[in-house]
Amino acid sequence: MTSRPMRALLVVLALVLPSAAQDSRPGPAERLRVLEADFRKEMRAFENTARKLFAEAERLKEEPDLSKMPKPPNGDFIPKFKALAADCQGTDTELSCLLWLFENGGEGFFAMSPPNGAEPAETPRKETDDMIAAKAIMERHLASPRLDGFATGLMFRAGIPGTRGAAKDYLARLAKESPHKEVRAAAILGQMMPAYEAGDEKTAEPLIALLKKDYADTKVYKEQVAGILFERENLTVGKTAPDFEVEDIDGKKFKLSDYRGKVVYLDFWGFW
Amino acid sequence: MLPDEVKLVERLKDQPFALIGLNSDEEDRDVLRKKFADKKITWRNGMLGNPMHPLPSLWNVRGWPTLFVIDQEGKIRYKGHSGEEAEEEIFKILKITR
Repeated sequence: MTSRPMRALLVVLALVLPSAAQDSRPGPAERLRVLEADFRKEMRAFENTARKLFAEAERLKEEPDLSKMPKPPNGDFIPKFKALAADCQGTDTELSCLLWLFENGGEGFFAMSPPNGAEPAETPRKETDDMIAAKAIMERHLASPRLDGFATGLMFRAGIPGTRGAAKDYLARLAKESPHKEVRAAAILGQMMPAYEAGDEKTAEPLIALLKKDYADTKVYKEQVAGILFERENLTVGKTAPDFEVEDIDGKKFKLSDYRGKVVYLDFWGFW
Repeated sequence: MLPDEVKLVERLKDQPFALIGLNSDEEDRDVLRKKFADKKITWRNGMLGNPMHPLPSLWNVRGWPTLFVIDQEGKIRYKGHSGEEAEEEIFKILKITR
């Protein structure tokens, strides 16, 4: 039995200790919130500078001077997100850090289009931070429901030499092993799209059939697969164009079929 | 793109041909009416009101502009993003030289 004063002391300690710890150092979730806000702020500043540079060049009808471009803030934030991830391994906050690193730690667009137009080498590249994060996500967070965007990111990397092998491997595992239907649907779509766009029907067809059969009620299907199926069935060269009705600038309704007998040049466009 | 279309419409005005735009701008119709006049857009436009309108999504439009050429029988003859290629197909169907 603990003595009465001793018990009182324990109660006091229990009340004081956690708040003392909080004062000295914010928890991982709070650190993440601050980090993300700082990054968004610097990203906006970067985008504004870039936009001004391009607008000025456009005004002068010149090529923008890329040497005046500021550095994107990603590089400075990568070690910070990595450090935070290391401090909270296995938690949902770690996953948030890893998803950030996956999105912002790669070579992105530049890896897809090397300057000389040549195909970049298939493997001999240093593993980039996005793929290091992807590996950790697969190791520790495979069961998370938050991986549908991750699957879409993998889909793009499945089309880039250098990341192709790992991305395809991860998509295959997600499609089989994720307990969440939306994630599996996104992963199957990620496997299907590169094949579909390359005209590889042999790979694409069974995946499309699988999505249609088992995943028709998912958001991924409704937003991304349904359009592709409609396109395959109705919008390829040689098919009769499906009819639609729209309103013109005077509010008058018209249909595509009103123009039967004429050659119609249809232009989906906007000023923006 | 737009100047080419203005020229094309003028060139084919006596042909069984129609250019139809499907415009996704969000501004008010009166603002757009003025912009259309400035750019000499005389052809009919379906006003979709915003890029999230269901039609582009249903037609799987994944980039702007997306172009289709549809022949007199309603069959799709071209689908893509190149005004140059679309025009080539139009002249081919109409059997006239450019």
